[in-house]
Amino acid sequence: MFNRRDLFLAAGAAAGAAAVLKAVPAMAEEAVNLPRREVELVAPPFVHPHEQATRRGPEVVAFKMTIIEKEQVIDDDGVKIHAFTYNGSIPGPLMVVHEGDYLELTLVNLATNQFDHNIDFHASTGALGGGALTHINPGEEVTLRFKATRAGVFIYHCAPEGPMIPWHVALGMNGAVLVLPRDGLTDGAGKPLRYDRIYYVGEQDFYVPRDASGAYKTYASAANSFVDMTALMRGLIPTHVVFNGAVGALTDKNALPAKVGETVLIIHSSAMRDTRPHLIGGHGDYVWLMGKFANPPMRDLETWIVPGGSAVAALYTFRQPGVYAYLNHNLIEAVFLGATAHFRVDGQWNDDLMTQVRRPGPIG
Amino acid sequence: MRFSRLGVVAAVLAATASLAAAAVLAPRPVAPASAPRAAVATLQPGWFAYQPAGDFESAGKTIDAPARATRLDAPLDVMVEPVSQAEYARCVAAAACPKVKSVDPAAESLPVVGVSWLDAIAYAEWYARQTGEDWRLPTDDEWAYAAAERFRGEPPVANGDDFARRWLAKFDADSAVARQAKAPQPFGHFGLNARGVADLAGNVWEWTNSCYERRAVAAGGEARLLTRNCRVRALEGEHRMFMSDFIRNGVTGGCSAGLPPTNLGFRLVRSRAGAVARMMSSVGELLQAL
Repeated sequence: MFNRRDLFLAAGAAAGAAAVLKAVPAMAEEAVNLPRREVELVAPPFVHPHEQATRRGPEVVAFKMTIIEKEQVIDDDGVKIHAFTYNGSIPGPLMVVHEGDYLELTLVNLATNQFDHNIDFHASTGALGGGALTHINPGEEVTLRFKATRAGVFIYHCAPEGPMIPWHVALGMNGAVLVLPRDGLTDGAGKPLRYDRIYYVGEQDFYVPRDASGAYKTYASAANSFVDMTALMRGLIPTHVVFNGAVGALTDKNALPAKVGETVLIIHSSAMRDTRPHLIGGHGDYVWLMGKFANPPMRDLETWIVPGGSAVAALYTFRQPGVYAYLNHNLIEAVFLGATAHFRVDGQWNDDLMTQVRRPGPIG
Repeated sequence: MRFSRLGVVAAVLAATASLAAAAVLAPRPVAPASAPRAAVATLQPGWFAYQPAGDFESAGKTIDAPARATRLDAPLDVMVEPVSQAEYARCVAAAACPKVKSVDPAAESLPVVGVSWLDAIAYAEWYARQTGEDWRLPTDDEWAYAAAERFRGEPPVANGDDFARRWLAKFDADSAVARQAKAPQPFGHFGLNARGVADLAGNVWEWTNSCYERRAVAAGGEARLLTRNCRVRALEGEHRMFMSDFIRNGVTGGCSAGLPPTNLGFRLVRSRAGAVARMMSSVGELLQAL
């Protein structure tokens, strides 16, 4: 079903689409005369260094991502999938630019990969989010530039053809772009909002087929898993729902550090399924519901929603030390399927905010 | 009375060196290779320093369990290996034990895993009837004595005023425990300890009979029982945990931190004829953390 001939046919179709688009008269490209800056990407949950507000004028911000197909362990029992990744991580790295900048991406499809891939940026305008201009076979690379016209946090994902689309995304090919207002974030009434730390949490649903005895199946290659996995995907019930590619990727010794008094911006993306992040013991001080900064943030949320196919930004200042679980508050998915992260927060306990008036003990 | 207290200071001090004396307590494994009866090691009486299971408080603050000098008063037989899948399967076949997943009736040298405390108790009662001997789950202190140098218990945390610092210290200690592969390993894989007991603190956590208890330690060192919950039992292995008695596979997630037990299994102990029902007594307490 997946031989090289099929891949080349798909690539041929994509090339045809690109030719048609190129034939349309293009508007003048403002970007060519702008300053250009190259930025090295960082694997999530971390984010490359960036200005929150900038005095610089618009520029071309250039990134490079390599698509890596690789086997990856996704839970504590050692269950493995043949993952498709942007730059080796699930989710792919967060790219930060400012509104009015041009995001330029060079996408490399390793010659050792088996499949053709592309990228659809929800932050971009036209050509299926760039998907129609970025189809590349193993051993090819492509460079796309788009103008970041809207401030917000937006996902990107692979969108090749037909059933390949959900399959590639379910194997890990998704990430997010953060387009900051040039003056930085505000509360919607002019008050600037800044963060001391930023973390990127990508929620991922996996669908791992089981054999007759109930044990998870392993496959010699991604292609070999396609029929079983897509059949399972049609049932819409994931076997794993995880943060950052694996159960436990952000818990215990991988907990996200912070300190009392620090403000943290949490970017949460979900490429396919709706989800509902909640910070146990904390709140969303400011949450840009739907993730777009032209809209004022909502205040003091207990739980917020991330519609599948989007990303959301939530700002919180830690007020108490300790361990916070940050999770999908469908607790079945959080506890049994894996969608849990921990924040580990140092600092001094505030008895005014909370105190144990009487310890647990016998009644009476 | 759970522990008898004699208040002999000299004994307390002697107990701190308890494990040095382990070599004196010669292991006496009985080792019939393929017999249906389990191989047994006999533990000789002796002292050891023991941090009891449960939560302890002092002056209104949670503290680490104070180490107490504890004595095994009479010889105790302990199964060299945990109960095997084949042994458990025989109990299931006799309609005396609940059926559990992944039990191979032919696996004479693989531990049964995925069993709850209730399953383990059913096995113990059946096995005691079959043999006419007083087989039962060990208490937590008996398990600790048998485990000797393999005993891990709970890592020391930071006693002090700040509840959050203690919480974070426990989180860090729990987070530092390395994950283990889940597949049950053949008997002997994790080796024998100084007392001739095999596979302690490997990838199987073992049920004990000890209930979850809350105790308050007074200035004089007396640990007074506040409450006890026997629907929750102490599990011993690479670290100590408490688990509801009906759980067959531990998980963590959500707000719970740290590693779940990789597998849940058990081994039994047998009191020698003529021994008192409670085998352990303790003398004094080392209030190291106060």
